[in-house]
Amino acid sequence: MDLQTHIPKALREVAELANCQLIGPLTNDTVLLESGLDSLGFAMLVAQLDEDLGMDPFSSMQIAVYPRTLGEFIRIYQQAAEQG
Amino acid sequence: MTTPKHYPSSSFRPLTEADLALVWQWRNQASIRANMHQDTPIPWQQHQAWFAQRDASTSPFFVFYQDGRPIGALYFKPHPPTGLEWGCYLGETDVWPGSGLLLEIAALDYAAAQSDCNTLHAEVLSFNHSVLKLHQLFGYQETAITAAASTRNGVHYQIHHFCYSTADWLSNRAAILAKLPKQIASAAAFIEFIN
Repeated sequence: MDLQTHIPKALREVAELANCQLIGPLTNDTVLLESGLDSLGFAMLVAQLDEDLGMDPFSSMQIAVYPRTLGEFIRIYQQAAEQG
Repeated sequence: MTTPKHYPSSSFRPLTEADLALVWQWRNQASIRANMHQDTPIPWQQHQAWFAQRDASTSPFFVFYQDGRPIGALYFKPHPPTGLEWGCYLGETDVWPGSGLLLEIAALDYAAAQSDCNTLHAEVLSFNHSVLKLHQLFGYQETAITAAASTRNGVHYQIHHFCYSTADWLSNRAAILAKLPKQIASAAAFIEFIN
């Protein structure tokens, strides 16, 4: 699955479901906490991606490095997918 | 093979003088000031004076450590006769997804653990939609909506007043956590207050 496409799409869908108004277009430089998606929305997004992809890298990380931007968020999922 | 789950530790430690500069930087960020009653930057001297004069026993202020790293603040002040009022913010932007929910849970857990606290109170500005939504989701009672004394960016706004009986929180806690994405309830098990 192309995560660079799937994750922003899932984020938009969760934002609509969580009644969050996204601020501006989503790019890899978008700061997650300033995107308009709130804390509940992010938790829902991670849960949705766990269903879609069968992984939650944020609950599997031995070294906790959390993403600031959408690009970093996608990269964490890409790395988790590569590690299988 | 199933990878063992790892959830972040959420430790709340009392504010010390060593934390002052970091907390001051967080509090003066535009995105945090925007949702505060006082939205103008706080001068360093005023911040120091606040720390020197505050009564930590009645108005506890905690720094939120996620896996040992300071990422935000959670604070309380008395709400007479038998309540506490709380506030919080995340000062860092690279945090575990759902950290704001952990703050919401931690505030209620802290209040419920205080023998002299019967209700937890909160005030939210009317344009802070995400927190309004969270308080409603958690089951706060909205007790009043009052007009703010000032305008924000030239626009009038309101203050939403909420309260939560700590006895109700203890009854509702499991059901509320069950409504949240499942990793939140798992991470909530790692919330601790260190005095």
